[in-house]
Amino acid sequence: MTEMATEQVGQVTGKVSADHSSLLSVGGLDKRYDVVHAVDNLSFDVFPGESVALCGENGAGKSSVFKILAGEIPPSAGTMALGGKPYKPLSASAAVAAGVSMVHQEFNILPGVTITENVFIGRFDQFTRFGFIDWKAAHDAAEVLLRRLRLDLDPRSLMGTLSPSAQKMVELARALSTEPRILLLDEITAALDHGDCQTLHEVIIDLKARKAAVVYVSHRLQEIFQDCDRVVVMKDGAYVTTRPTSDLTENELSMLMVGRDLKPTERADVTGATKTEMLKLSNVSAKGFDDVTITVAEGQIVTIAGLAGSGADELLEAVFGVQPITAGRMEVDGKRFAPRSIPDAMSAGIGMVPKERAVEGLVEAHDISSNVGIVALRKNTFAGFINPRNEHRLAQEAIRQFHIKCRGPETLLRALSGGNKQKVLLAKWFMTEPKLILLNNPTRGVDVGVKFEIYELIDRLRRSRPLAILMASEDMAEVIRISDVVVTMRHGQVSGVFHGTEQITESNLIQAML
Amino acid sequence: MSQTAEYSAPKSRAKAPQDLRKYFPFLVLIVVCIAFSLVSDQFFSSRNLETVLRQTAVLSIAAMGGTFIIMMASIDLSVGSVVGLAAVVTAYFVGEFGYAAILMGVTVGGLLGAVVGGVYAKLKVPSFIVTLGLLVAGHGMMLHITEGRPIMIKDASLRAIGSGSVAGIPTIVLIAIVACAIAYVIQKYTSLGRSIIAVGGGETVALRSGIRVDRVKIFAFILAGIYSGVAGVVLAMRMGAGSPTAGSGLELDVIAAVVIGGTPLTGGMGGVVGTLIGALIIAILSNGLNLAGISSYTQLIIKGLVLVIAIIISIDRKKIGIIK
Repeated sequence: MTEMATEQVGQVTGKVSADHSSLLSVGGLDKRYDVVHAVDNLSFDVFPGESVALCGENGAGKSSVFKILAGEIPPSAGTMALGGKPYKPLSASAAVAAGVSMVHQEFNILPGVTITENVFIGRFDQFTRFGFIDWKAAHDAAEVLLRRLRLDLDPRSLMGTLSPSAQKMVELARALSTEPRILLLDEITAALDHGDCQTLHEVIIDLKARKAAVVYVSHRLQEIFQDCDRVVVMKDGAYVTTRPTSDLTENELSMLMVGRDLKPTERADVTGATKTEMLKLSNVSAKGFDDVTITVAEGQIVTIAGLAGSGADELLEAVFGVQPITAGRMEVDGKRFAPRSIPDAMSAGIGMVPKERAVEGLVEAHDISSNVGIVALRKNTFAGFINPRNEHRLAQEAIRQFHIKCRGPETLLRALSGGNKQKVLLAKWFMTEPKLILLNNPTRGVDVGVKFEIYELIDRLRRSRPLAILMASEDMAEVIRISDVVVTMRHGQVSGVFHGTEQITESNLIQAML
Repeated sequence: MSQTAEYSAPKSRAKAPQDLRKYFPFLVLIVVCIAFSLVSDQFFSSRNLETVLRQTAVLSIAAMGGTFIIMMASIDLSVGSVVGLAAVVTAYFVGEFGYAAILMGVTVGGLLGAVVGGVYAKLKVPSFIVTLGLLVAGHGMMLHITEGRPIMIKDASLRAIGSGSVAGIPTIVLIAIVACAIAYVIQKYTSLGRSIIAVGGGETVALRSGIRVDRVKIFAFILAGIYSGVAGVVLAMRMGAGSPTAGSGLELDVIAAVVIGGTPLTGGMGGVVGTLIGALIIAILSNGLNLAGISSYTQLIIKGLVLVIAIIISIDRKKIGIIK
């Protein structure tokens, strides 16, 4: 570091060290990317032994703050201090060395090597003897970490053979193995199953007891209230407020994040009997679930709620023709339905919004027009030829109906925010005008504001055209808010059916799911 | 709530750098032409231009097929052998069956493409391996058919197509133009072409969107095989013979033409227009370096450098995280 830079940092320390007790102190943090002002003069403190949630909508600047803290990108301006000393990490490894570790929202794993290698990647020096790696010592150390995270796994297993939840936990183990003073968790629970979420809760308590601190980002507000002591709210890159979670309700926090009042969608309470039954499953079994009987009527939203591994995902896949059913009978619009492939299901008027947007849903490198047009390829053809102009018109219509913020149909997907990408994904399927749409976590990874917008869109669509909706969701608030009927599943079997506002309550559902 | 989408006309100032990059292959082509016309005054003679176009015909036809494969994020290493086989088969049967031999040459290409596509899509063998196998095996088949010696085409009318012209334009160049035009229509206006790009952009996305991915893969390789077959027939007509070595090494020129033309090996974007320009760049480079009297050894070094430098300048590195 140059002398000048050291001097600058020195001045800064004088300013922030006024607050001796804070573990991490961020002052006037600023980050600009070209014209985008991602972080705008943000200041906050984190004290030892506490857990702080960084809250805000998509694009509020949370990710940029995390990347700056983790040394992945430099700030444009501002100061940071860690334990009273200036903190200016020049790389991710420098941040780790200073005691700041991060678990990313995305998976950062090497599937082809062992758990141990994934945990200690880049830090094998600690196990070398005479310059060679002592594998036994490394595996033993990994085993200790796995135990701490209640994972009954052999550290010699290949990472790729683990469930996504276990993989995420191994990433947590990697972060914990660096003995962090500050642990940054970015949307980690999105990948975790129920049991691992519990373990994470214990890990956070344990870290706090050791006088370390956790900075947490999650779209699940319940977790924030469960695991965090304070919230720092950001909007459009700027600081809004800091509040103790004990002083807030979920609704108040949402309002702070969005900056406006959110009104819940009214429940339709369409009674199935008066309308056409669009989907009827009678004693259907397939891989992952057994003996399921449900009906979805036109205009109705039926939701399958269950913990990871409950069979909800598999049920949707079976209806979409991905998995063949082994027993029972399916009917769509009164006709017997036995799809052998996705195109079969689509021909029957079924569409499906998949759970993994980036992998299953959209091509990031293509524009909105191609992404929306891809499902219409089959409809939009005459003797194998397509008309690009129709595709363009379709995309324009999608942009208008779904309020997608973009320059036009030629905008590349990767130039859009997460919420707008999700709207493109929904538009892509709704534009095919399905009779039945399967929604697998339709607002996954989307902030509150867009979430509500999507609920309104879905509600408007089902009222304006003949449409039945079968949804699977892991977001309890969402399930309760928009479902007409909730079917809970447990270990591949239906464990309860709930109708209407009176029956669809959190305690009823949780009881049936666990 | 602001419900109005921020919507403006697609043509906008901020898009300019991306658009410029799209025209980069074309700029290279112009630069190369200007450079050679300064070095040699023969370069812009109509005779030399005809030579260049004749030399580009086979490569550009084969590279059309290669473009679809690379847009699909697969690779075809068998081009040299398939083109050679088609040429040999045409020469072998032309004495007995006349013009029907042309159809046989093209069919051989299509059939081999179907086999490759089937093994790739259904048996899940990487296209790199399947086509590498065919490159080697195809070479053996050619040697069997020809017993190692070129088969001369005695049919004068077929040879006349190879060396003749229609309205002042060499016939084989016309064939290449038609082949390229068809490729453009397939890419832009058919469900198959669009599906190929979708598969290259994201195979799972394509699958979940109702595209029959296996079928698209097989048809793409059949299409590429047919293009190799046509290239082989044109090659036989141009040389007046089916030679077991005539197509060798063509697969690498095809890949170079596709990549210089702006289609990345990772697939999902690019197209046949760029490839045509890429093929022209490669042909003009050989021709110009010949005219400039540069030794064939040095030419190889220059060609290698041009390939890499063209990519260094043309790709948008900001968007690429990891490259393998």
